[in-house]
Amino acid sequence: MKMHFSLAALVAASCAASGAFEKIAYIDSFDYSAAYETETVEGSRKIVDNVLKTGANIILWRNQSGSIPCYPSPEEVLPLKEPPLDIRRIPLNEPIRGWVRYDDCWTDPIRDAADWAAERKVVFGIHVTTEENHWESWTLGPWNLEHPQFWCCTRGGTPWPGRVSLFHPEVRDHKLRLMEELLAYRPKMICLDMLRSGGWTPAKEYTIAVTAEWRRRYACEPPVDAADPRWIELVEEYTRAYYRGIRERARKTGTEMVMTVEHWGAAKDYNLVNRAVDWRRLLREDIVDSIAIACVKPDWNDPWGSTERLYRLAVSEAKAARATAKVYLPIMGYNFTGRPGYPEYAKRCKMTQAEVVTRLMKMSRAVGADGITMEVVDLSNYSPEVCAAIRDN
Amino acid sequence: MHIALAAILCMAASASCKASCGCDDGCRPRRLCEGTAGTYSPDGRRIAFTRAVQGKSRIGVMEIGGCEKSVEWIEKEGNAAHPAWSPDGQTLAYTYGNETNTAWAARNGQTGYHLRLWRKGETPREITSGRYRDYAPSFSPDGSRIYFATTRDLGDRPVGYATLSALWSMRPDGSDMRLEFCKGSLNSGSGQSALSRDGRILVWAQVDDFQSFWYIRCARADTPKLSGSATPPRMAAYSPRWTKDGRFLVCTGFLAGDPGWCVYSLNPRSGAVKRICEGRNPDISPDGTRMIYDDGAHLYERSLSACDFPSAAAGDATAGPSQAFPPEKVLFSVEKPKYPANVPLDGRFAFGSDKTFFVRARIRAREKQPARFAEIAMGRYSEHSVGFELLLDSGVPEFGVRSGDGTYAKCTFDRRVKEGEEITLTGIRTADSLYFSGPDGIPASRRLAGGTLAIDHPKHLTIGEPFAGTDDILSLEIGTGWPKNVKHPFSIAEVFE
Repeated sequence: MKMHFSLAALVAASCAASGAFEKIAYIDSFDYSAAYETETVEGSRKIVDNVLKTGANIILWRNQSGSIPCYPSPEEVLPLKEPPLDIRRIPLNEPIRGWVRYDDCWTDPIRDAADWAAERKVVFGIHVTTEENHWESWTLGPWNLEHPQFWCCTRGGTPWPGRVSLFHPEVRDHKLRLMEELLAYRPKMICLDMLRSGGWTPAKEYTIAVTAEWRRRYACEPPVDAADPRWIELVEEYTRAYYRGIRERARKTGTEMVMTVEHWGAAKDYNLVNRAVDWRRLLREDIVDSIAIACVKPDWNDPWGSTERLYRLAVSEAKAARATAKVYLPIMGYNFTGRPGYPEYAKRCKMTQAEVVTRLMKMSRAVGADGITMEVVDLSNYSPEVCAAIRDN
Repeated sequence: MHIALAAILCMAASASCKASCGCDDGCRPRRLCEGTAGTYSPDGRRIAFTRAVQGKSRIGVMEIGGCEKSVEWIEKEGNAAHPAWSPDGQTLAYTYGNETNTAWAARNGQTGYHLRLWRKGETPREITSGRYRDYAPSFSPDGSRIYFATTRDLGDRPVGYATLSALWSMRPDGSDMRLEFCKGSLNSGSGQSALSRDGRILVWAQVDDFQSFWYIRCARADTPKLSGSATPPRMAAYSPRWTKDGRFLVCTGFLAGDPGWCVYSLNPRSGAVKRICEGRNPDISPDGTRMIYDDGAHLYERSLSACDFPSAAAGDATAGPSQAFPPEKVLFSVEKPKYPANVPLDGRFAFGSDKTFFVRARIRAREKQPARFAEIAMGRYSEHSVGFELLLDSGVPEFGVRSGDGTYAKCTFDRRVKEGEEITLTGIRTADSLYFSGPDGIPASRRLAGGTLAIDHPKHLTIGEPFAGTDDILSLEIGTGWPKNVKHPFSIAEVFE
């Protein structure tokens, strides 16, 4: 194991030293479960090899499905997760996907993927989704189901089990223990994904504890509108406390912290309003190192001009917040809940997908980005032509 | 004065409790053993329970007060859980699974979670089969049927493979298997059923969709589709069990402010609840004097007394269909409308948060839908651009509204419409629930936690987006009151008549 760590470190060092344009691929092994035997060492290797066809030199392996870990996690052990043992978890009844158990299979998929990445001489990192559900009830984790007292809550006072509130120190401690489990794999990079929230927004933070804190601070009832700047400020404060905790732990392992955010240009700060994340502040305060823009929203009257302006803006803002910050720009293989990927550009601009990707790759380099990110690479959602465009540019 | 009175009552109750259970210190629980989800045998002398052992779930049976060495383990391998005694105490039903392959390797196999029956001294007998999960069994009081939750045989329900469980029953020999109730929509679940001792009333735990949590519904056993909520609107609850006299339920519950999962008693007729203690998975002894429950790790037993149950006057009304609805009054009606169209509403459809209203459309399903979401009618309001909507989502009819806190809530039809099918769809919103009915006039329902959004400032009605033409929407009506083509749900009082 020690040898593998060393090899991974060498790979990482060589990538950083060469100043190579970084091509980061997100991976969700669950998406391959109907194609490969993903609960085996061989399955994880096949996934990595498939992803490397894109020309990726950094891979980020997804850590969980909702809050069900994709590795044997001591923190998320009881009650037993396998459906239907915990009657509170509704089973997924698909023949394959509904039965995979990455947390309790014959191997440790994250370890297997990290080892194979080292063999393939690519940098290994972990893609951490901040959601606790993936829009399906079976993805709620044991700790969540065991601690309703920490569940989020709607403004109307209805408990919302989709996530536990970071306001509570117990919740932050739990999540930091999970993060320590991930850091034990010695990933070069941890990517905190703000795109996937599982329906959580600050509007789900009207818990008894948070509203009490509001009343203590402002001597009035909490705002009806969760986009109220003071409400956002309150939620952002304890959300940031959690990220600071991650940073302190990541520093010990020398792990780079990247945050995935969205950039809507002049429109209201989507990340702040919907995720309670002030990414510029996180960069300034040395809580994250780098920013991966998940997607931009172009003006379709001028798709290329507007995309370039947004790319330049993202790079300049990130560098202004933290001069050493790296910025990654998106090569998104599909439209993600209304967010346009390169297929949308191809459709609107009447170009091939490979032509679009070539142009986006060149644009990313031209605006001074440090690399690109590929939204989750599945078995075939990045075509061979697109992969060639990514590899060659 | 009220506080003083409460104190006196509490002291009296405590004295009564002490007298009834014989404890020196009231109803202090005693720890029985490591384990969860315990259930009393019908003679009250034994318990069956679940214990996690080295990552596997085991079922043990022991005498109350017995020692660890006396525990009899039902299965030696695999996972066994959810034990339920037959009424004669001779048989234990439970779910059993032993996946020894990867999901990929087992994809075409018949392994799964199946129901098994265990009798002392005999090899367990499997009574279900197939690549399904059958779980959470319970016997009818006369022992003639087993109710259980399952992922099996979804047929042409909206989502062939989905996060979904339904409530089924069968004879204990595995024959005469039938669907009792299926909510039908993605992320819905029904299970953990319990029949009242007279066999008339069925209660079960239900999840309406992803954004909600388990709560308890009750219905007459012969008409489970006409059910109502037995729990207060903002309460999460599961694992209902009847008391001996059939007046109350005990369950695991959570209300905002609770320190964690708690054992609650519940009067399903009134919705009144009372928190008994912290814990979960309660079961009441056959003589009604004791209760076992767990804290997620250990089983406890404690005495019960009258003070553990809500008084007749306590609590508020349930979210069940307890109110009388006025008859339908059509406010808007159009035959074969041209669409897409935007109709100014000019003050029509000011439904407030409590007025019962319905949207009824007769449609002819296309061979191929032009988009995933095909709107039939959408009411746009100042309060929200989607105040209500009737639509097809990938061919599955849905009726959706905003609930009181602005979140979207929907009720989904239990199947796709068929090509060329002409069908009348009726969505109904009441002050606390949503209903959705197809041709049989029996509405599916879900509760709306926290009431419904006041819809008082209508702007316009969108019809038929993104369709074009006149062939699909044959008629559209919007009105107040209970629509005459839909069977009225039982009130909670009617359920218990």
